[in-house]
Amino acid sequence: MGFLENVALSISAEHITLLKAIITLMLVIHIPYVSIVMGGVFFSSVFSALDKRESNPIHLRFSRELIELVTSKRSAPALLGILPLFTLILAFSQLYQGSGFKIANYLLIVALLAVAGFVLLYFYKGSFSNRDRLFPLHILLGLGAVLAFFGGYIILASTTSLIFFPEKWPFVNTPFPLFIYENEIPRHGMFLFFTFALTGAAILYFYFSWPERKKDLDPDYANFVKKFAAILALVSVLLQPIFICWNLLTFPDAASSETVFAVWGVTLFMLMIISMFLYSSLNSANQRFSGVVFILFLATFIVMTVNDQIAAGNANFEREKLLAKKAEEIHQQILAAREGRQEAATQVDGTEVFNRICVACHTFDTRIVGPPYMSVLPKYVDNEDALIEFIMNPAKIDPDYPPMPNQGVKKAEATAVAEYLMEELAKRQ
Amino acid sequence: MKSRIFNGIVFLYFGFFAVITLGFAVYWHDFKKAPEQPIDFSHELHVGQLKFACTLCHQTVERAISASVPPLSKCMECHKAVATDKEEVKKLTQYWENQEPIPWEKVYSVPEHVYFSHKRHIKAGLDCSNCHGELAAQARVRKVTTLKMGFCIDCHKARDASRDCYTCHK
Ligand code: HEC
Ligand code: HEC
Ligand code: HEC
Ligand code: HEC
Ligand code: HEC
Ligand code: HEC
Repeated sequence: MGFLENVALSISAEHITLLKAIITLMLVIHIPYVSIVMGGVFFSSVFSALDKRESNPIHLRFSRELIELVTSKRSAPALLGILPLFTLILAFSQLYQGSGFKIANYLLIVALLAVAGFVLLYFYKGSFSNRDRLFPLHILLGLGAVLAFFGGYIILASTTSLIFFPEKWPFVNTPFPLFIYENEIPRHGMFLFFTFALTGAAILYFYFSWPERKKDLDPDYANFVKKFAAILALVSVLLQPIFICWNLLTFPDAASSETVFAVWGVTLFMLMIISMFLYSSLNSANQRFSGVVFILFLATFIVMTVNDQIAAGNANFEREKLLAKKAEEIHQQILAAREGRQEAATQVDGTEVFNRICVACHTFDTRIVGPPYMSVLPKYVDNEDALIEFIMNPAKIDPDYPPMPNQGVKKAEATAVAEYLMEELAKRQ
Repeated sequence: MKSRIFNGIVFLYFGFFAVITLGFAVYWHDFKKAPEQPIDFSHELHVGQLKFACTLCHQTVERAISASVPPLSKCMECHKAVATDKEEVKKLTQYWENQEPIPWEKVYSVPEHVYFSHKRHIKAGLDCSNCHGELAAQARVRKVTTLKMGFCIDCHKARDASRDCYTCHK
């Protein structure tokens, strides 16, 4: 365990930046993909159920095509789903090691639910061939996939929101970090409606702009798909600013900064542009904007993700700074140990140690923070070991002074600086 | 035409939320951001680098309700001689010569109706960082915890301390 703790402590500033870049990249890959899958299976189940209640070939066809759309790339669940999720677990658990924040545990539950979601999703797709015979099973599979996905990603939304709130970390003792504080609710809303909005935009894109799209759509069906997707996306986008402001209302002060607010402003602007494009898609036969809208959505998501990383950095500013400092110290020690393996203590330069550490508080002749050396050193003549011991472990001596803080000097440094002090004393006497 | 009307409405709608966002930003900037202090005193330097104990300056934290911000004379014990050529220390000396206390901006506070005592908490073995974060990394003090009631209660629950209303509300 001692070894692990050392690993935890030696996360350098570059390492932290790298981890954050990885986290941002993985979120940007993973969340939009999962959003589309979730939205797809949700509306596929809804339309399958609608067709059962009142037979409607358009609904049934759309339900079937939606599920084909979200499963059309065989490798996607592994490459865009599971792999980024486990990378996220590794990166997050490194970044928050030793902080008392059990983020890896929470994300593991998300990953398990996501895997369950994908398995159920494929069973659901398979069950279309026996839909009429085994309808309850069919719809149960769809519902199961929806519940697994939404359950998982509600936990993810809560967890990423908890990142902004370190003061709660030691006190979360349930495996599900749900409903710990009020900021989670707007985050769930943002996530849910982002999912729906992106699903709508993706449907528009894949039906009307994608080079590999089916080109044999009859006008009735095309009109239905267009109306459904554009209205879904538009309503969801228009709900987004409500949740954004609600989020700001409940956002911890320590995670805020001018940048965070400014980026929310940019997000609002992008959402406005998107909704204008969506409206014109809805009202024209021409779907030339659906590609632009889809790209704009992904761009907005990137902006929001980067903003969350900035806010997380604000909330954890001191922790990360100290981690980087500690890593730098360990690095210097390793370098020093490597260089000085053969040559022992004498190689450390006493003058350098004095000028780096001691001058802040001592001179030879006058009192500054500590006593002038000329008045305290004489008692250590012929007793250098006691001086070295004091430098490494200062004790309270003179009630006229504050205690000397332990400067954390190594044995070799203490020896060298003691030697330097005694030489200087001899010169001056 | 229809789309012009729609775009106008959408513009107003998003503009409304943008104004609210701006309002949050201004409120945060004026009331919640780490305040600028009359002298740029750095805990990162005095605590992180020079490693002075908190109690050197916050002398009453172990024995009184209030931790107390150090009087100017405390600074001058060292700064009569230390770093006197630095701009910020010259300002400090100016206050000293004018016999004016430094008007530090308060960062942490609880409302009137709440009773809080440092002494009890330090005696119970809590570290300053439980409530104030890592000062050793702060060049300027900022409030890292909310000090909302839930914050106090969470810890009192975990540490089995009193949660009776009258403990904190006198
Ligand atoms: C942050 C300020 C500070 C720094 C840095 C500092 N000292 Fe001190 N030092 C003090 C104070 C204050 C005292 C007086 C302690 C007392 O009397 O209890 C003191 C006392 C001493 C004494 C006298 C001990 C005695 O027996 O009276 C020696 C020797 C000494 N320091 C050496 C060093 C050396 C060597 C370094 C550099 C490695 C160093 N100090 C760095 C503040 C400092
Ligand atoms: C060299 C003196 C000095 C030392 C040592 C010191 N402080 Fe301070 N502290 C101050 C001064 C001066 C202020 C007021 C100015 C400011 O807020 O920056 C202050 C302010 C604070 C505040 C904010 C008070 C408020 O609400 O305005 C906290 C919290 C605090 N210190 C905690 C600590 C802790 C914890 C330590 C030890 C790790 C420590 N201080 C060590 C001098 C010191
Ligand atoms: C126990 C000694 C001690 C006390 C008490 C102390 N300081 Fe310092 N202070 C120092 C030392 C040592 C330095 C570092 C000087 C250097 O870097 O050369 C310093 C540096 C500073 C600087 C930085 C100057 C610069 O620009 O680099 C400021 C500002 C300062 N102190 C303000 C204060 C204030 C305000 C107080 C009172 C709350 C205070 N100090 C109390 C020892 C002390
Ligand atoms: C249990 C939480 C807690 C701990 C632990 C704690 N503080 Fe505080 N501190 C507070 C609260 C709450 C306030 C606001 C008090 C008020 O408004 O009366 C505060 C205020 C302060 C202030 C501002 C001046 C004042 O007293 O109002 C300073 C300075 C301070 N604390 C320093 C410290 C130091 C140094 C330590 C560690 C020795 C420490 N605190 C430990 C909760 C804590
Ligand atoms: C990090 C943990 C922690 C936090 C945060 C905390 N407390 Fe405490 N508090 C304790 C402990 C432990 C005790 C029990 C001390 C004892 O037994 O003497 C205590 C005791 C007290 C007492 C005295 C109880 C008595 O029996 O008289 C008061 C009053 C109090 N806390 C108020 C507050 C307030 C107000 C806050 C929020 C600003 C707060 N505490 C935050 C841990 C905490
Ligand atoms: C451990 C300390 C503690 C205990 C116990 C405690 N409170 Fe509080 N309470 C606080 C603090 C701190 C605040 C100030 C919150 C703020 O700054 O907004 C507060 C604020 C309040 C407020 C003002 C509204 C608000 O939330 O800001 C009410 C009402 C209140 N408490 C009622 C109660 C009641 C009723 C109980 C008993 C069940 C209780 N408190 C127990 C610490 C405590």
